[in-house]
Amino acid sequence: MATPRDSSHVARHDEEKLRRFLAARRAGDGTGARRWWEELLTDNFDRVHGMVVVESRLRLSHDEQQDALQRALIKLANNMIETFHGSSMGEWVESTRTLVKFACIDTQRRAQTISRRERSLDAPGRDEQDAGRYDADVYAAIEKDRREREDDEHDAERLGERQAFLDWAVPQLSPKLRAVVELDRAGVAVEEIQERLGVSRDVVYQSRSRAATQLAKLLKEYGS
Amino acid sequence: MTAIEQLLGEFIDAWNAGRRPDVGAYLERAPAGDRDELATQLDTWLQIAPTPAYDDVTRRAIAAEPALRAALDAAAAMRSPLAVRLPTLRARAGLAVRDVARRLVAVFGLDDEQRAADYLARIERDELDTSRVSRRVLDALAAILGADRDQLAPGPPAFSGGQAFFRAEEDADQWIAEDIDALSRAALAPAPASAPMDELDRLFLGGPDA
Repeated sequence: MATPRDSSHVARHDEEKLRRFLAARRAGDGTGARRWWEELLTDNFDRVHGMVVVESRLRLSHDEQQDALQRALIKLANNMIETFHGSSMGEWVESTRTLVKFACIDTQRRAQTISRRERSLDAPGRDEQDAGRYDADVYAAIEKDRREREDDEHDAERLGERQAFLDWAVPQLSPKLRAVVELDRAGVAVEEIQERLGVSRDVVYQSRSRAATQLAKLLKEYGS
Repeated sequence: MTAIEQLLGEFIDAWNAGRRPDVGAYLERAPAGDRDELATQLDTWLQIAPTPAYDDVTRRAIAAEPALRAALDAAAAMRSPLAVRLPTLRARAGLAVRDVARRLVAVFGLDDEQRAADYLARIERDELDTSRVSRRVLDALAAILGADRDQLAPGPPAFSGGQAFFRAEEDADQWIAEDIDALSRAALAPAPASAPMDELDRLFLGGPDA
């Protein structure tokens, strides 16, 4: 059973870690920056895992999903710590979602390339002497991927320049849906939401689903 | 209430209570025809959800997740010099320096396998400035070793400690003057003629864009 929480605490703790990370990075304190970044990564592990599952569920096998999760986490730990230009958790989550999408695409491309290579090596008359040629094929795929990635990363940088999605989207919801979303985002337990809004649990659940559908549409509009 | 409304509602309750709901398990519970819609709604929630304030036990469990540990370890390894990473990746791929050199020259249509092996050995001995190695070589090595490009990134420059240029104790005037004289003559002398760089040299010495 969920228990009522101090919503200000829920909303504050990750922003505080992000603030400390940014301060340490600005000060050139690599150890401190890394410590706070890894704290954020730990706090958001389930979010990243969940994003990988929904992004890749129709495209990747279970093993490939694990590979995509690894890829996303490594990029978060090693690359985004330097490239993140935002200053809020909203922007952090947006950047993470973009990174997860690319990690899943990378994994899929790599799986296809390896599959092609293995098929070629399995063909009659092929042996390890052909390895050089297949390395060249994989190399060509990596080069192509890098060119496409440069375009993708340019798009991702543009994302960071925009107003945070929620600041733009939430005001477009009806007052009731907006109230539920804002209480959910503050981590308020469902019992307290029912009490504050004077509605049943079913109404809260229905509102969540309707709000998610509307926000998903707005996300598409926002991303285009 | 629909199945999706029920499942999303339960998921959000569990998320906000720090009970770590599993996206895959919730999707499995949805009727097959509703899974896409539920996936969309869960994806939206994950993009707007607060970061739960986990209790200590839960946080320790997350920190011990094998996927997270492996990623943090891999990220730490990627911060080590290429001289450390390359032999590790090579050993993982079960290839000798010569094997890698043979496949590398094949990728670029070259034939000087021995010289390529020498360059690779210099990287592994940390005797080559890896910031001068072409990205094309690093990408090819990634392909040969079955690694990610990021794992072959040249990495931050290895800083050496500051070195005192002059440190005289006593009666050093004479040899300092001789050294300065020798340095001056060397600086004014024309550079010795050297063989022009060929394609292989450019790949290892011509900079990241070569």
